[in-house]
Amino acid sequence: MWSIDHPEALWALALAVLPLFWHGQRTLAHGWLPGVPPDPASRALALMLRVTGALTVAAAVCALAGVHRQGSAIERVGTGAHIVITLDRSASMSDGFAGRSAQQGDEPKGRAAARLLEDFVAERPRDLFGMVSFSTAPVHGLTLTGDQDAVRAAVRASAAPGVGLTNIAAGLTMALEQFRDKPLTGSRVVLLVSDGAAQIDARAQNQIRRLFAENRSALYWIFLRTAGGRGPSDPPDPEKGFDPAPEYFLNEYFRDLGVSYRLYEADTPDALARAIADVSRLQNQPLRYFETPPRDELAGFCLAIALAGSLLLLLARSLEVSAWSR
Amino acid sequence: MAASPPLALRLAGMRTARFRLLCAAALCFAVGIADPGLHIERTVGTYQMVFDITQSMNTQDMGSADARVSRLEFARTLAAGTLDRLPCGTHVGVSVFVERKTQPLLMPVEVCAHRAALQDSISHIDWRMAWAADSHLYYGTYSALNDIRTLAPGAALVFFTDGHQAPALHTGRTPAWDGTPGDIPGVLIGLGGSTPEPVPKLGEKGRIDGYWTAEDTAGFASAGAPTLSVADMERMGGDLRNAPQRAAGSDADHLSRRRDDVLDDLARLTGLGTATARSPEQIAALLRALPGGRLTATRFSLRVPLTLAGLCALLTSLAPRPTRQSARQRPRIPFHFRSS
Repeated sequence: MWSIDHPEALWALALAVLPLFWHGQRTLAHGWLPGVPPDPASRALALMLRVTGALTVAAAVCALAGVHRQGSAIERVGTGAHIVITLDRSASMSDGFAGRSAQQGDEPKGRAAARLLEDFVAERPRDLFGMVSFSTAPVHGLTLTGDQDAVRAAVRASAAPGVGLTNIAAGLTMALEQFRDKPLTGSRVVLLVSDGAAQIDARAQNQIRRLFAENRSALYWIFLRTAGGRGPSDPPDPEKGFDPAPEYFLNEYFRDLGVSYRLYEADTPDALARAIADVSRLQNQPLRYFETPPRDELAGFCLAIALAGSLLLLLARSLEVSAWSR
Repeated sequence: MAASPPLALRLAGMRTARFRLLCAAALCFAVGIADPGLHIERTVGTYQMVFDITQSMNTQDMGSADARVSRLEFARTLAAGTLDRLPCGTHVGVSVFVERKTQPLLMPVEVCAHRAALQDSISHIDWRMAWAADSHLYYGTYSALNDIRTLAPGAALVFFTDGHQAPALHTGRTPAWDGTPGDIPGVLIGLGGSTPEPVPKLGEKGRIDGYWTAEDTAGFASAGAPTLSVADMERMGGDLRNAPQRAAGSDADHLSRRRDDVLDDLARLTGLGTATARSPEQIAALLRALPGGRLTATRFSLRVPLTLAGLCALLTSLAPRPTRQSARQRPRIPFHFRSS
């Protein structure tokens, strides 16, 4: 497939007409032209020289326009997935992990998650990644893209201290919307990383259920437990009176979604690293992706034509006579 | 045909200007094939673009009079246009500001290779991302500078804001900054008109549901009202205890305009520059004038100038002589016609 970097430069192709009128040859006055016998060979030679001039100009203009050949993207099958990282950026993400040895000055959960997710992205060069974060409101980070550096920059940005509340429903909805109208060329995953849960009202529950079914996406929930906090696997304790236990009920809701779902509870950065490694292993399913072959620059080729043309013209010039000889 | 002319005459033909121009053209094309290049060193910067997404930024008072756009929309277009006018090698990141804090969405990435990602991020910036409705601009600016210090050292700050502080500050209650002014370079880009305009309240779908009224804003007390003892209040008379806790002069706070005074005050505290937003060219020039930045070598290919030079030389060598001159200059070559 042919492509051009600067199509507007092709207007200069009009210049290629000039050499058809301008031959640039030495002319000698002649006393009586009708006395000269017709010479088809000379006429053909004159025409050829003019055409050579035109071709030379055209080739130079093509070189200027940056003509190149771009092979069409080749479809390949590899392993990988389309992953939307859905990251909790609420204020509590600045707190430490719940692990037994937790103490003051530990790495905040948000920063540990950003660091490990960045490595996760770096290890999966063929995956497409999207980025959504949420606190009180959902925040669009990046649309599904193969631009690894940009995804890592977006993940790194989430290391900043968080703000606001945990609005999980809005985050999930925005993450699932990322898949809308995209071709289903690989397994889809919503990778939810959060340190808390919120109750999702019935309307949002139905909407999320519908979006998961429509988009055929799997869900992995990496739960980062805060020191002294509850986890999704702790059922509400009837002894304690009213206990909303949103984590527990959210987990129940996710299990009931009818999609491939897994929960990881991470108490320490190491546990988080193990959870991410497990997701990495699970998500190695066949993935169709496109690879664009490097382009063939044709400017050098055009210049070679221009060079050949100008050398031919030079040869013609050097054979010109400066006077009629006897 | 005539017999081949003597060598001396042919060499004379090679000395004409036309012949030399054609030689030059061929030489240009030949060197152009090798594609030589120059390595030019230039300074490129790293910038964190921060967008104020508080509700006053929805005020529609930017752009031409017949097609008003909101300040935020104007800022987005401006930022996207600026990307195209920054040299490759420049890094740009994106953050948003609401309440007291900035949230980075994208750490700085190279503008040419990651143009699509930057465009994606900037075009999705929306007031709905806000996690709160307050607009403590002083704290926000400090937060932006702090983000740069901790997460992106070496970057400069570009803050698109209208300078509208809500709720208004009491006199003498300006939050202090603990950094050194001028430590982190940057510029505050002021948006908004110079006449106070109503701030729209937008619904979920982005439609204007109404406008902020004086009563709405009066419902939000300014932080840091002067503390008076009961004895003081009794001495001062009136019903001071139940009087509104509003900063003086904030009665028209429901209307919004570009607050150059606030931006100038912030600039004085932090050593940042200020400018009023006009065009992408202006912003790009402002950014490139900021101190800091790194040296990168950029290769400048000589192929295009060589091809252009070759093309000009070729066409000139083919062009006919101007007729007036040629009549005067054409050598009268005596010849003898011989019928063959």
